[in-house]
Amino acid sequence: MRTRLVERARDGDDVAFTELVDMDGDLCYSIAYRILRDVERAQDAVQQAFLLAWRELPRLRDPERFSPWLHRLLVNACYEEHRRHRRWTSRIRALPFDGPVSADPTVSIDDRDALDRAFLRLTPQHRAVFVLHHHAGLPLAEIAEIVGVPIGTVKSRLHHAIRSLRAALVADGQVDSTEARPA
Amino acid sequence: MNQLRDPDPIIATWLDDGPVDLPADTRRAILVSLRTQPRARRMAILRGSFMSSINRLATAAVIVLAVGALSVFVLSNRAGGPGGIATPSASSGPSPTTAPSSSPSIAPTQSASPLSTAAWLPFTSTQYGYQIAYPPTWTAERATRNWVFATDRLTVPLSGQADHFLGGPNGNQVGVSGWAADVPVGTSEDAWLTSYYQNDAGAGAKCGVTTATLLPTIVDGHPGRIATSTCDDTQAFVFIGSRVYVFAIWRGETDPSVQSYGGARRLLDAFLSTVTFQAVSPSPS
Repeated sequence: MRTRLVERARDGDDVAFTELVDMDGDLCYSIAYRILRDVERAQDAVQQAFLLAWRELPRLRDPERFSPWLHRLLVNACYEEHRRHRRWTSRIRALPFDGPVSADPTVSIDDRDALDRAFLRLTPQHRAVFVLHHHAGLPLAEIAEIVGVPIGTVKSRLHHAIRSLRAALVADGQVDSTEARPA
Repeated sequence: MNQLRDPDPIIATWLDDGPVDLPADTRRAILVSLRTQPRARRMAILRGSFMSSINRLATAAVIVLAVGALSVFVLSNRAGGPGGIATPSASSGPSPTTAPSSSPSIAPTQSASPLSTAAWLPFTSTQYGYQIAYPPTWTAERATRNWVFATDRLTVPLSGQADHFLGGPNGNQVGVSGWAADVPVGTSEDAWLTSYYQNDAGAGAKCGVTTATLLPTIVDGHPGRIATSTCDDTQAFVFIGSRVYVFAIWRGETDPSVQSYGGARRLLDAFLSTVTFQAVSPSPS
C-alpha cells in the first residue's frame, strides 16, 4: 500500500504524494519541532523536506526506503533552518522554548528552562540523533543511515546529548546527582 | 524544597511535550507548492521511469520494427533483395557502422561508432578531481559536497552530491553524473561493488547487477567496469588507488531520450572517453 503510493508519487501522481504527506506529516513535524524547538522553523523545515521529496522522489531507487530517505531530507532541512537562523538568534537573547507549557507536574518550569537551555546549546547534529532515537523511537542503525554517519558516531552523539541534559538538571539542583549517571 | 528525582523521566516528559500534529496551514502550503515545483523536467532528467515497462517495451518494439523495416527497404534497394544483407561490401576498409557486433541485440552500442566529442565543453570537477566534457547544449551542475557511501548509495545522487550533466533532445531529458568515493582499506573492488549493489534489505543484488554481470572498459587508460542495471541506469566504476570513480547515465538503453545518441551506453562511453583523472599519476599507456 505505502510502497505503491511511493511508486505512484514517484511517477508524478500528486494525489498519492498528498496521501504520503498525510501519513508522514505529523511525525515529520513532531521531529522537526523537537530538533529546532521552534514552531515556525519546524513548519518551514517540514515544508522544505516534503517539497524536496516531491522534486527528488524519482531518484529514489527503492520505494521501500522512502521513510528513512524522507527523514534524511527532513533532518537536512532542520540543519538548514538552524544555519539560516543561527546568526539571527546569536544576536538576540536566548529565547525560551516556543511551545505549549507542559501540564505534567513532573516537569517544573525550572526543569523546562534548564533542559531548554541545555538542548539549545547542543549542535543540531546532536539534537537530531537524540530526537530520532528518544522521540521517534528509531533504531541506531536507521539513524546512522538518516544522518549519514557511522553508528558509532550516532552512539557518541546520543551519549553526549543525554549527558548534557542530565547535567543540566543536576546543575539546576532539581535531581539527585547520583542518579544522573553517565551513560 | 526540591525533591531528588531521576532525571531521565523528566527528560522524557519534557521531550514528548509539544506539538505532534502538522498544522493544516503547513499541509496546505505543501500541497499548493507541489503544483509550482518544476518537477516534471527534473524528474525526467535522472530517471526514465515515466514510462511503464509495457510502454517501454512497446516503444522498443516499435523502434526495432521501424529500424528493421527501414533496413530491409534500403538493403533491398541496394542489393536487390533481403539476400543483400549478407553480401560483403566491396569497399576495402571496414566501415564503423558495419563493424561486426559480438552481441547484436544486448549491447548494440558496443559496436557502434563512438560519438564525436570534439565540440563538447570541458568540465573540471573540483570536488572529485577529474576532468570530463559534456555536450554544448547540456548544462552542468557542480557537486558541492562529498558523496557518502552509507547513505548516498540508496538513491541517485541528489543535487550537490555529484557532478550532474543534464540535457537531451526535444525535452527528452537525460542525466549523466560523476562522483568519487574513498574505498575502505582492505576492501576489494568486488566487495565494494557487491556492497554498492546490495539490496537495501541486506541480501541479494539490487537492480540485477552482480560482479558477474559487469563488463570491462577503459577510462583514461585505467581499467574499469560497467554495469547496466534493470533500474534504467548504466554505471561505470574505475578504481584508482583508494578511490573509486563512478560515472552514471540515468536512462535505459532504449529510452527515447538517448536514441539520438545511439543509446545510453554509447552516450556514457562518449562521456567516459573525455575523462581525465587529476589526482592520480599519469595514466598507464
